[in-house]
Amino acid sequence: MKQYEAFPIAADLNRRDFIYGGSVAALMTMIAAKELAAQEKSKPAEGEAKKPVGPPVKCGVIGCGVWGRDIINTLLRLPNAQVAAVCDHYEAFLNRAKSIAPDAKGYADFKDLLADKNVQAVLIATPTHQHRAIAEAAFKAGKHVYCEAPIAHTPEDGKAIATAAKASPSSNFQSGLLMRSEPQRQFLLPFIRSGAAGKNIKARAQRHKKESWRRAAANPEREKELNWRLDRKISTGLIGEIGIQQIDVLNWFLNTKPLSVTGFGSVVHWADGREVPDSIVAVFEYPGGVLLTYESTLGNSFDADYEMLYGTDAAVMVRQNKAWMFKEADSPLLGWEVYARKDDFYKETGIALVANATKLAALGEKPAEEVPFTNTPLFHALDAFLYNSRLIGGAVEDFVANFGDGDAAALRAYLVDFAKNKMPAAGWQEGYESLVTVLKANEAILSGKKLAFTKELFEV
Amino acid sequence: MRHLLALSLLLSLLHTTARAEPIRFNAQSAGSRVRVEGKSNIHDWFMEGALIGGFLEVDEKFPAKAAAKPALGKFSAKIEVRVPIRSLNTSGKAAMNTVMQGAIKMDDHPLINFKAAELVLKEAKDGKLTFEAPGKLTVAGIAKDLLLPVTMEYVDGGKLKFKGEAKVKMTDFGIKPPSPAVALGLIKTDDEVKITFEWLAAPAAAAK
Repeated sequence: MKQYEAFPIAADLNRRDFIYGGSVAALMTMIAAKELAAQEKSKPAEGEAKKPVGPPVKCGVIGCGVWGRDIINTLLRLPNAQVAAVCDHYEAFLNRAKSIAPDAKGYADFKDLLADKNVQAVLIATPTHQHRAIAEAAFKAGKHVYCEAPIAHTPEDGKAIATAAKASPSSNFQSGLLMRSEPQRQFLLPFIRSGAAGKNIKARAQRHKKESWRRAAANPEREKELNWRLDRKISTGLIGEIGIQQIDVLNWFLNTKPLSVTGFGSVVHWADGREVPDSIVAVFEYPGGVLLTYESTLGNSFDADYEMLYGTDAAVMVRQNKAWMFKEADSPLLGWEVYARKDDFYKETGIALVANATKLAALGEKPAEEVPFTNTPLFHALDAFLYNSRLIGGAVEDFVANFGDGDAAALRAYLVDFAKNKMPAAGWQEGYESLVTVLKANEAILSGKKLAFTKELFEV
Repeated sequence: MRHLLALSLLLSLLHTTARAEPIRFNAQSAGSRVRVEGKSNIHDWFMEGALIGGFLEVDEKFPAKAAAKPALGKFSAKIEVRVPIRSLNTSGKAAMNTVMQGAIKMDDHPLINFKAAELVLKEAKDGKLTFEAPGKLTVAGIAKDLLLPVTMEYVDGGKLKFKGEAKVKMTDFGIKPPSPAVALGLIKTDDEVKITFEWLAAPAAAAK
């Protein structure tokens, strides 16, 4: 089970629900905001990626649990993908995957899938502790690799995957940090980095969802295998399996790495013998005294999930595919916000952050009333993975056709330069840095201590 | 005696054939660049890449090595240069790449080719030779005559660097200038584009 379930409410809420609806909206009406949203008017109709030139990428999905099947379903919506193979050693999961993608070949062993020459790219959606063996074998087989986040359950495994990815420029590697490819975050990044919200003071993120994480199975062996997230020896905990997405976004926005993390965690609600906390708080400290507080619980769903960034001139709130700016009374006038749509949030006014708001205002056009980004973050991440895999795969073919494959260093140099043309996505470096960040945080949560990050920890 | 004469003739023929062996220069994997620039009603755009494959074959008369004063005039040559369209990336990144690749009909015609059978040396000055290359440019499967002005410079290792630029119209090659829909309406792309390139070639034995 992966991060997609961290954002279930996004698909169910529109702006009106958000403001006037149920319990989540009730809180939001306590606060007023300007919505920060990129626009996709030039993009195809919702749910349809633009038809690419060239054949689709033949994909093999390894791990056909809930998240693996979400990946398969999303690939089936993308015109640049072909689900060529699916793999799971558990027959029931494999059959369910085959029922979704009946044209795909089914494999019980991932090694057999990797030996399938027809498969160009593999998407690894197995339990986290199984990623390393599959990823390393996939690179050796010359496949493009999408590996779910966190990419591993230990720094050693994570470093091994990152090292293999770094050494394999002919393979496009993407770690499953979905928000790196998500258009709303892409739009917000330069806005925040430009200092429009002033100097960063602090950040905060939360993820609340009432769910047990425990799954029923037919026998004790399968039950143990299925509930790997509740096994303290291999689980990266709430902050690793879920929180990594939001923490990665805020680290990306802050453009720095944490110096230390202090954690707290306890089993408050799901006291079923588990040792993995169902409620956690982690406080990351950054240079200049900037703090990021992350908190998550499986015991309550109120207010779901969002990220906040607090600057000296404004606060920015990102909730799924929407964003707002809350300005300070003494903050400078940016200009465009005069024309931007405002939403009321209790005692505050939020300015909708919409891409092209300035140009639209100059042309007398109104920004789109409803934010058009309703595709899931997974959709955008896989779209980027497929595009980049074709890009890198094509570059290798073109290079070899013209100059042969005898000069690996020349090919590598060409690919490293060519990689700058990739669509935004998290690579091995982002995947590894986020991994060690949350693993250290999980260690702090389990021990209740303050732990320091060393510079070496982030190096591959 | 007749046998000796026949042998002598054969040797002479073989020698002539050996002398006629062309000198070949192969494209280098690094050091080349191609850029296509155009305009639209919204903004200027470009697509560029660093992969130019192909070769140049010349005879011994061609000034392949720096000479004090090479003779001006026509040199027979065989030039075949190709650029894979998917190696070109646009200023508009992924979305525009897809638009341009579709417009150039990449699925059916994945390469841009230029072929020429001679090089005409017009000027030689300060180690830089200026040629005209009358040849055929093939884009989207349509070949058109093109008189391509190029300069040639000598580079370390016996390599040759060619530079040039040409203006062509997309419609000459059956390409409809793209007009994708965006938030502010339709983009109207100008028909004329400017192609600039640098192409590095090395003697076949030393090619890398």
